Amino acid sequence: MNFTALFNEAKNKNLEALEIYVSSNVSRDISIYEGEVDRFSSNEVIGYGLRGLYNGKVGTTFTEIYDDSMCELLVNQIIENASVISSDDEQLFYQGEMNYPEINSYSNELESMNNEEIIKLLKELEAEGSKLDPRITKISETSYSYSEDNIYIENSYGLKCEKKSNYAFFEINGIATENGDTQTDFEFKICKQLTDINKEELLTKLKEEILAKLNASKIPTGKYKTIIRNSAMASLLGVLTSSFDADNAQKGISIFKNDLGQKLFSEKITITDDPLLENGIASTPFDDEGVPTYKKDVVSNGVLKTFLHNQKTAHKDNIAPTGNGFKAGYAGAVTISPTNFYIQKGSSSLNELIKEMDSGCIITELNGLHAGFNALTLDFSLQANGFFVENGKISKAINLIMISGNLKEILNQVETIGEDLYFSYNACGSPSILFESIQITGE
Amino acid sequence: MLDKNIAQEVLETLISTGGDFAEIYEEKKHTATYAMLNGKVENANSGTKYGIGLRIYNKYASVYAYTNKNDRESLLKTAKKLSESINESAKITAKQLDKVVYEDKHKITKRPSAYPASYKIDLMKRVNDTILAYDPIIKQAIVRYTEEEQEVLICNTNGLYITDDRVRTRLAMQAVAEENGKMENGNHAPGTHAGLEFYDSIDLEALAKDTARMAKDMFYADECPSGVMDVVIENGFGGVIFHEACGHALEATSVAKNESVFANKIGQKIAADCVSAVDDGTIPNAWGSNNIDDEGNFTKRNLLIENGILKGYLVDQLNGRRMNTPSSGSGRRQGYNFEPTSRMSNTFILNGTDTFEDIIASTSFGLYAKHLGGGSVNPTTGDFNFAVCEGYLIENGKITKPVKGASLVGNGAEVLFKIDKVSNNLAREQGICGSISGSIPTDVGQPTIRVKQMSVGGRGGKL
Repeated sequence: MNFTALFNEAKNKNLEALEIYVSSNVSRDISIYEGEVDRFSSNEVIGYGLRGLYNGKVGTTFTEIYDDSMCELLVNQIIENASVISSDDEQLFYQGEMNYPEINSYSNELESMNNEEIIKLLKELEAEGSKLDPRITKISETSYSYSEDNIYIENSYGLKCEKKSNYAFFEINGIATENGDTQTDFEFKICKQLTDINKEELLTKLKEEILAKLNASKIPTGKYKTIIRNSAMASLLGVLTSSFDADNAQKGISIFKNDLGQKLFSEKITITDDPLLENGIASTPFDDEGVPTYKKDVVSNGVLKTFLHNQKTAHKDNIAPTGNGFKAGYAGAVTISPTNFYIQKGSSSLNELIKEMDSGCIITELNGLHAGFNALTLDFSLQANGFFVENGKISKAINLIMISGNLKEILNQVETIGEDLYFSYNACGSPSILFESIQITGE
Repeated sequence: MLDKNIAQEVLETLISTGGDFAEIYEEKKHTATYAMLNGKVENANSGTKYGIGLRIYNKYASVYAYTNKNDRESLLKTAKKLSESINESAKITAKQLDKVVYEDKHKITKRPSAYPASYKIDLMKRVNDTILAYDPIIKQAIVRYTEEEQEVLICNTNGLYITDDRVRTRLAMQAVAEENGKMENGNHAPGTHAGLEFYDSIDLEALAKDTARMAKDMFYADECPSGVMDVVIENGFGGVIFHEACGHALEATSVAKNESVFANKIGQKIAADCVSAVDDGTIPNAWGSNNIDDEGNFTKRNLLIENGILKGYLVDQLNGRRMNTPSSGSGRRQGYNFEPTSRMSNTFILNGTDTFEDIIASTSFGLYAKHLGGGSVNPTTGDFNFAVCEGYLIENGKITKPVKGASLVGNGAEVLFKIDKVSNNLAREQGICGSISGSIPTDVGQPTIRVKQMSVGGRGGKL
């Protein structure tokens, strides 16, 4: 890719710096319904995000069609947008070393899997899924998505970097009915290589999960000892990430803004951001500003060690950027996100946690996190499903209950951490955790 | 937009391998966003997205491809490659494209892109200043302005060639109250399918003040108790309960495959007698309106429920085939990189005969949910949840004290029968609805209603 004309135009119009971010994506989606291919999609798109420095202020623009004839228009848009900025924040363009860690994030095998193979696999999944149990009345969808991303960043200080990654996502959705009670479940597998796909594992999981949900009841409202299972805990960690965002802290909208070096949670809690994790869905050698990434503990034994930074926030706090400057898409501004972000595991199996709890609740699923979690206060009140435990054994399924509390408070009431670290598709991971007491609304 | 002759050629290529219908969706969308924190513009971003989505139906199945390349050769190549996923002999011929001309229902007088950024920043400043001046406890004002001008062209093998020009703008405001390390927030986000004239027609300062008031009142509120109680849900955004509890499950996306709690129930009673509801994509300049849907069909006012009886579903073309039902003008998508499916537009419960005052006065104990947040639903089971941003306790027929942190859960099929009062103060508010065809603007709405015996979750302990 050659952007000489663009950089020349920027220079002529007196931009002090310019950066172009190019994202190309190839994707493929296939879904099967009742033995036939129901949806098939094959796509190829490219997007260009630009930011430029003009009179010390940063303006941004984007386009999906690019040729040299558009340079003037794009640079003019940058100038117009930069001209309305009144914030005093200094935005930086990366000028450092380009020594990036090696990340194995692209699999040729995944790329070369042909449609016939995939369709055959999906049809088998559906057919075998329908025969798992008479109570599983329908496999509502089995699907595959493949996505391949290529990112290229170039700036006027000499930065040039490029990365390529791919993954495949298999999903199966089922419906089970018994005694007029209907329950659904979906199971998925994110594959970074072909060997990750395990049909039997997906089907066994689907059967176990969906049948266990049937004939659920409610429990009396009250406080219970509670295990939040790994996948549900990972989704809770997902909504906590904005509190570790240095930009939010500097703006005063993170509850942890004055807590650097302070003890936030139980000493049993260590939270790590690991961009180098093998086969991690968010593994990456550099962030969207071209800053090299590295592994770090954000919370170590309950103590807040660092916020996550991009170049702007790091400069403001007079520290080195942490390589967490990411954009939501090529068109957006650089904000801050974690990479593979997880709570470190302990040593107890889920069964050991259940025995230890003796009686209480297991929460397996949380819904409405975008609404029922207050990111400013960490208060939550969420729709939940799970199981009731009596005498160290699961006694029944519970459905449509609510769990309420404050995430900071409950992370200070950790009894035991499980060994079953699990990553969700948001790249957040957690083991199951046993908490002293959580408010549950039932009947 | 795409030349008619090229479009014709592309459609012919798409159906050459046995597809029985093909469609081209071309989209060009200008967006501008400005973000302000405590009076300072922190971020200004604008640009254009452009792409084309090609779709072929083969009975109930569909294949889809999207690309940014719009030259004849690339398009024909993409079309050919897509058509190769169907391997039969040609079944139909493409009709000659004929441009449909119609009158735009949504008049725009101040096209946002024709006004300088400074005009919009002045609007944001007015909101910012009002929020910060409200009370010393208000420490942060966050204001975000967005404009979108989306041009679409839809053509298909039935000879349809139709365009729509959709202009939308929205101003989201948030106030943060803070003292002694504790924080609480308030928010409003008015939006419209119109230009900047919208801001001349609403009272921005009043909304900004209410945003700050909400943050302050909620800061001093007690935690909501948890338990089962009657809930009075305010008009306007309160309609999100109908959107989640019922609307999604009436979409053909889940109905066509019998995966909805409301599948096969037309003509049956699914709600209390006092409940009637519509989805109306035709309301001039309403946030969720369009002239045509994203499959090129004119939008309609669709009656969903009348006096508790299920009257209709929201249907897109492809799912309509499985249901043997014509499109209800409900095929929508975020943009060219999404295949359309049935979605809501402006969905609301119609006015009843009760009054707000009578509803409160006749409630001995319950929660008054004045301002709701978002929610979600599983359309197969009907289980839903949503958050209450601003709530009050009702005791002995009177609104007594503010409470915060409440969430409501329930089951769609059950809750519709638990609505026992519907007042006469219908209002709509704006939301963004996310589903498989992306995030789209929708209005939710209702008059004030009362729901008997809902599960309320909160941190204030057991009732």
